[in-house]
Amino acid sequence: MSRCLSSILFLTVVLGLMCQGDARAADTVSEGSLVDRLPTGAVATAEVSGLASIIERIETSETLKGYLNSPLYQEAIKTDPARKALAGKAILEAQLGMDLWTIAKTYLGDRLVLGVYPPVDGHQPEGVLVIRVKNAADLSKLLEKLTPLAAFAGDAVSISDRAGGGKAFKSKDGNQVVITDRWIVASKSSELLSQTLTNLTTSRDSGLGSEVSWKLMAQQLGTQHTVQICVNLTKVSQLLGKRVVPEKLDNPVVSLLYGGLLEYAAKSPYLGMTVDISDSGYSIQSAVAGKVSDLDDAHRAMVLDPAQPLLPMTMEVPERLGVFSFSRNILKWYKAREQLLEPKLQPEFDKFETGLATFLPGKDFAEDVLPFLTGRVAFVSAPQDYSYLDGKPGVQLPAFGLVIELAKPTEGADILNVVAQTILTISNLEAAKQKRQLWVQSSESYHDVQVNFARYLQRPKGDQLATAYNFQPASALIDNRFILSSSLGLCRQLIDAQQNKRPVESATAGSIPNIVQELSPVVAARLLEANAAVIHAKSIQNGKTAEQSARELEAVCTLLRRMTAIHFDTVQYADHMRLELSGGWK
Amino acid sequence: MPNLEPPAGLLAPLDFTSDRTWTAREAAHLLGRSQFGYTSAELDLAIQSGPAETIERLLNTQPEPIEFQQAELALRKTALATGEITDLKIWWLYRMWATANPLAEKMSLLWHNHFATSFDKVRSVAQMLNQNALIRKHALGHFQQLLHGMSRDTAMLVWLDGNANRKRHPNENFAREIMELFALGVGNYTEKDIQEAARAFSGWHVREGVFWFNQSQHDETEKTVFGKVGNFDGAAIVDLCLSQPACPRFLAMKLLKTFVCSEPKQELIEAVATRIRLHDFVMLPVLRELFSSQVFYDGANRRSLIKSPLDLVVGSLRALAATVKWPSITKLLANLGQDVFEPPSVKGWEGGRLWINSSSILLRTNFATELASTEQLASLRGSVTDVASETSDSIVAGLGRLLMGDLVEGELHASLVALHQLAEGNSLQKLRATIQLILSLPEYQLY
Repeated sequence: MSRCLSSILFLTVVLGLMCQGDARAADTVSEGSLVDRLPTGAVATAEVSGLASIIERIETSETLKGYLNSPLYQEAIKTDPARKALAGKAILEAQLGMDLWTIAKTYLGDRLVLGVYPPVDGHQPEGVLVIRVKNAADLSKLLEKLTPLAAFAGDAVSISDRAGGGKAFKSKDGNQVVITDRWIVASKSSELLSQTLTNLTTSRDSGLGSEVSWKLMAQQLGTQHTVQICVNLTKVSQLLGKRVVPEKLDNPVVSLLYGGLLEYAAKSPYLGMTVDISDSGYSIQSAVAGKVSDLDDAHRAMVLDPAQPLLPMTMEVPERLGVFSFSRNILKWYKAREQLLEPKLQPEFDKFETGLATFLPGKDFAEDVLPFLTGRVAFVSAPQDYSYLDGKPGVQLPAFGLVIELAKPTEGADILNVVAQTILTISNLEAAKQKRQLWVQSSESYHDVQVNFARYLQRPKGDQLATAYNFQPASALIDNRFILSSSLGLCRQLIDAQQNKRPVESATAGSIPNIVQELSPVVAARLLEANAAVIHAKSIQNGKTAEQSARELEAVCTLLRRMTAIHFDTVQYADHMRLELSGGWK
Repeated sequence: MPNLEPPAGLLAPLDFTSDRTWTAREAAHLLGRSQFGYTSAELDLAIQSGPAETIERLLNTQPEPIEFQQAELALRKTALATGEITDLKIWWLYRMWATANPLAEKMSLLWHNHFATSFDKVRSVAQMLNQNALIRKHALGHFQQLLHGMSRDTAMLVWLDGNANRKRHPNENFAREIMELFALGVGNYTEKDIQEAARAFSGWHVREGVFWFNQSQHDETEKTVFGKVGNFDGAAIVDLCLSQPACPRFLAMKLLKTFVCSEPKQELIEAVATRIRLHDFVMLPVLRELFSSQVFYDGANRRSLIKSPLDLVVGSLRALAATVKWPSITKLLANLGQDVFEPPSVKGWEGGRLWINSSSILLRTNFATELASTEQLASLRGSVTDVASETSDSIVAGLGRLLMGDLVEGELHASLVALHQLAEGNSLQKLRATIQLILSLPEYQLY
């Protein structure tokens, strides 16, 4: 848990810093992408632009100042790697006569691109880095600093004047850097270096940007992004000598949820990724090209029919911690499993069907269960209310709700109720072994909806109740949606959500949500705070003091409270599919 | 309790004004046996304050620092909250490592092994914790109260199938163990005594997580135990066991094997048993006499016990570690064969020579390496690493005093000094290498 907290802390600090501080307009990119300055034939490119404004934001942000003054930072800089990094920073700043922030803004703040090329003669991949600096004067200054330094290095670095102006530095191991009026170009390959330098001064039409993969990505994702990565999947496939994604997957969950997207990737000329950061949030998008009509029948089970999309359910409840919602033709996917999944997985399905007989004797999963489902499924999570306890569990888990849409509501609900009752019975047997209170089946009418729920034989009492007391299973059928929840409270909220359903389950123009995921950092922070005692104890178990743990938790919660909901969706477009991660700050 | 004459003979108190000088060796011997390792500060205080004051400090409850209280509470609550036995194990290991009352923990472990009960069957952290609290409450107190408490303890009743003990079908588990393992030892009872005693415990059940006398399942008829006849219930059987001459002898053997020597002579066992009887089974005065006795400090009994995994691991951590990564330590202890709250059987850990075998000696050496050379298990105390820049001779002397009770001398001292000088790396790495060597010494496996 402590490691998880540290990871969250790191992520939130980095993203937080990027979006904090004075709101300043991002540098407008005066010229287009640098990709077309690169020679053709690249396997992948990564381009960064407008970094200066982001660096500026980080430098001036209150969050950074707070972090630098925090005990957390003071502890962090005592570690060996941190000390080495700080020593390296001091040397660099002394040599270049400016602080690291200024160095970064001056030389990396405009636009840079890295191209990766296939290995020649089976060696390591080749690469070329192009950096465009805003002011030519800055590069003159850099040359002034570097030239004597390079001379000082003796045989290790040779310096020569370039015919077209600027200087070329070459290290003993073959690395070459050329600095001209506004450009820094580095590569180990003389050929790539030469071609790139030529492209800087000639027409761009013959550059990498003219290739199909990059053109298509630029057309589908645009080019004005802070970071833009493009992988030429056609070339990768050629280099590998096979599809970039196997014909048959080895994970059923991945297949059901992302099988369509991966099949797009297998046929797409490119894999693109963009990162955009504004004053109020961030957006990371990844895309592959393709059309639903290009997929075979089996793979269409994992994408939505553009003509009649059955959109994922959103099920909005108050204080929602998160939602994971998708829509699939599960029956078609299940029946096509031998085509979609590796043969080694097939016996597992047989075992699953045999095991299912425990819950549903005499029923066939594909013939008697799946036809009752429409394929729309949503997992919803929200804080548990504990109104059924005289106290609280020591570890407070969120409540979970599973909403399944039924094609045949009555028959489907009967089947699912049998499953729920069997699980309850098995849970009671386990509870007896663990000496916990048993559940008794009960029911109520909530807003005219029949709700079946489990109530404890005696109300559990205490402030440190076992983790199992987080659960009070409940189920209900409303309209054609069956709700199975770990909490009666959440079950009621889901009924409310269905009754007060807003027209949110719709597609915006040109895009169809394929998987919808959302996480509320604010609610997550509240849950972490509710479990502070356990988190502190886990930190103590790992050698921290209660005070250290409290500081770390407070830092994480403060950052989470500043964040707005995080969305991670899969979205279908007419000619490509995207993974979209986005969020923001208050 | 009337004032008793001090013991004579083998248990006669050692006169530190004339018989022997109270030095670091004696202090280290006392602390090493009565707690799980000791810090440099604890050793200094013991040397300075003398034997009598040190023994009283060990025997009487000392205030716990606020940091200990906070951490102990957080760890205990979390164990209850998660229901995970690993969390409870960590709670107890933390107590052993950080408490200001280490003798209470050492005695608690003795009784935990004596009344060996495993979570593996009990499956309730709360019940295991309650049993541990009962043990700690009486660890230095009345054994009678502990034995009576244990006969009604819910974890024990689950462990030894109390609910299966019904008047028409008596279950002998608890009756057998109270005679064989808890009070008398093999050879001091008959099978008939067990069968009759089992009837007396019938109806001693657990209901809703607490002890419940199920009268309808209690055998109210006459029983004959140890030749005595009566309508005995469980409490009467406990008293009958306590009244047997074998009982104090059995306890004396346990105390001597834990604190004095691995093979105590019959004469010594009788002497301690007499004092137990005289002190009415209260452990504190018996331990006071034991820790003050000539036999305790006798040269033949120094470094004569093999360190249990807990003595080795927690003892080393108490001496050297500033912070500890307890999940790793818990796993290590289980691998070394001493997994608290999960003893191997009703007989507990046999210990002694069985602690060392070809597998465990390797693990002990690996522990030395990991503790001294990495941060995977713990970080070393500043007071330990601050001396890194001192001379080899001074470093070896200091570590020898802390870890071996000043017994690093002569050839061993010279070898360690030479190895410290030859060790690679900077001064801290040399210090760590020397710690690793000492922790790996065969002599360090003894105390």
